[in-house]
Amino acid sequence: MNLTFLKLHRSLLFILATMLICVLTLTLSYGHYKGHNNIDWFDVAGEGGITIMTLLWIFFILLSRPKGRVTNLLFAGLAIMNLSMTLDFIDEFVNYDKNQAWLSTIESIPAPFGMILMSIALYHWHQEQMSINLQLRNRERFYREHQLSDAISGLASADYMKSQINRELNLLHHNEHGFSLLMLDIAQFDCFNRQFGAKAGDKLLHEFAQVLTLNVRKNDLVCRYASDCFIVLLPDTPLNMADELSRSIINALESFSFQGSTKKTNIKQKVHRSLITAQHDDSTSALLSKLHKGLLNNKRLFEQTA
Amino acid sequence: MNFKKVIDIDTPCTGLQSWAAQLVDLAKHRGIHPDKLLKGTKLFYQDFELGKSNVSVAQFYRLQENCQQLDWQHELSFLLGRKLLNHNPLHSAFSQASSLKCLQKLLLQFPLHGLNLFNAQHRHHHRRHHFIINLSFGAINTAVEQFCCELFASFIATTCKSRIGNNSDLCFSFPYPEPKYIEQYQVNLQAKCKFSQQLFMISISDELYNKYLIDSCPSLLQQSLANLMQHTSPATPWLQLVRNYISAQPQQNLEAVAHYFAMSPATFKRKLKQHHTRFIALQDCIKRQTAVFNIITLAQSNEALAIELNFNDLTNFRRAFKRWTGMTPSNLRCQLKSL
Repeated sequence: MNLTFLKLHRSLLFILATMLICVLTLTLSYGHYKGHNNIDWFDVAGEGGITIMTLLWIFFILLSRPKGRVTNLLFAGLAIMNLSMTLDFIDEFVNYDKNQAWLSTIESIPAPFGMILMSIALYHWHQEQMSINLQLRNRERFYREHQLSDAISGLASADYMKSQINRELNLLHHNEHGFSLLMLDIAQFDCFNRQFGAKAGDKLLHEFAQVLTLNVRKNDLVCRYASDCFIVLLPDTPLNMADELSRSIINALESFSFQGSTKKTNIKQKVHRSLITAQHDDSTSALLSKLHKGLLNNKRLFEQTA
Repeated sequence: MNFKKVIDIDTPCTGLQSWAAQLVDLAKHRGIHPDKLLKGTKLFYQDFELGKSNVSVAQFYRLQENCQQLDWQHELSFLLGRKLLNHNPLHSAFSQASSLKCLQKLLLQFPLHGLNLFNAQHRHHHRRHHFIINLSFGAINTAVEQFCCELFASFIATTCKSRIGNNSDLCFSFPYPEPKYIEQYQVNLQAKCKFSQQLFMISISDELYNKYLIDSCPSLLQQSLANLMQHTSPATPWLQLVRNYISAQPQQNLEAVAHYFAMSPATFKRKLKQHHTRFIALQDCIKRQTAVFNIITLAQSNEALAIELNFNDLTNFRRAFKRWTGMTPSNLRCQLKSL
């Protein structure tokens, strides 16, 4: 489990711990134990379960989110709801004197405030998500499944690309121009790996992915096919337009210079490409196979001329 | 018969530690936790760092099974295949070999540091060289067999690419159906791949096999060979010895083979079980490979094949072939024509 984000929230964890200690001290010092026979164990299980679950939600929120307003609001809402639930839970074990009866009276008051705060937090979370979606539009289109993204580049994986190509093939007769596929391959990537190491190789793939996503259109989808090979799905794009687009993408990639971290490296990479437009009788595997063969031919032609 | 330096699947094998460590590091970099990957192998990640662990083939196979489950992109076998020669004394000789023929001889003569996991049968037909690859310690299940095939294919493809420049003439035949992650085969091997072929085979043309590699240096090669000679030759896998003996003496029964290996039939059976195989399965595998190779490459007739494999009549041969491959010889020929 990656605890990097949790370490950022030490102050929030401290607030939560202080709140729980105060509540426990207050209730246990004023209350008297009900006695074993007077405890309703079904209520204890139900209310205890809810209290633990809210603590678990707080833990996962802090584990998954960086610092910020939305995190603070989510934390505040959940912590206040947890306060109500903890009071309710302890209530199952203790009775209060008449002077301290206010403790059981106020137990349900914090919960609505917590819910209001949670609702505000969710609204801001929605706003935040819209902005993240905009940044991720070239990586996922309209389906999100974290297991379908590639760990090295952060792009969609080949499986996701195949499902999207399949979808585009099914919709082919609705589109005016059909769709095109562009395959890109980093030339001499093996040599790069041998020279600078596998870690630098992975870094190069990650940075290439970033440059690639910056240079495609809003509706295009980029994926890492395998190793140093990337695919861009260009929906509703005829071959001549795809050709122009691919040239500008390749220009951007070839102009990008890789900065190594340990050595003084400033390297530009040659990129090979292959481009096809889907036909009505194509299948996903046939399209990808054609695309890859085209890429190998282009690489061989380049090597022969070089 | 006295067999010196024989190892079996549970014996620690030099070189596998380096492969296992590289595999775990590759997986770790891709977000797979080392402890999950090493589950059930009795290996610890810290031992790799300290250089303490001795890895047996059984442990390496278990690691492969875990990889198949956890690496949903299925790229680790291909990535490790590129690095098989790291820390291997063969590395410098490999980079100086004068031809692929020379490389093959080096592999045959010095299967050092884990490379004895694979052994090859060399056949030549119609100006092409064919290498039927077998796992020297046996394939304990299909997941391990697939991982090993990918590993070795990636190693060969990387070697050819780095020494010749391209793999256009290479052809890989795999015994299993086309996997979902075909992109890994396309991008990492960059060669012709055939699936559901009943055997793992690598083919290359005469021209490329004998082509002189201009970047080789004969004097450096001699120097590397002299260094290699100083290494003690690796132990031979026990199962490979059994396979070789059954191939050479196909008529021998279990008792005779057990006697040759100086053990009782019960011990012999137990040892085969330890390698996840049986005597009949080994015999069938050897005959299946011969039959399939002779049909797909030599285009041999059923009659000629039945004689070569010591069958008394054609019906028996057809029945046995169907048991080995799940299809009749004519079905296999039809399948080849349709490809």
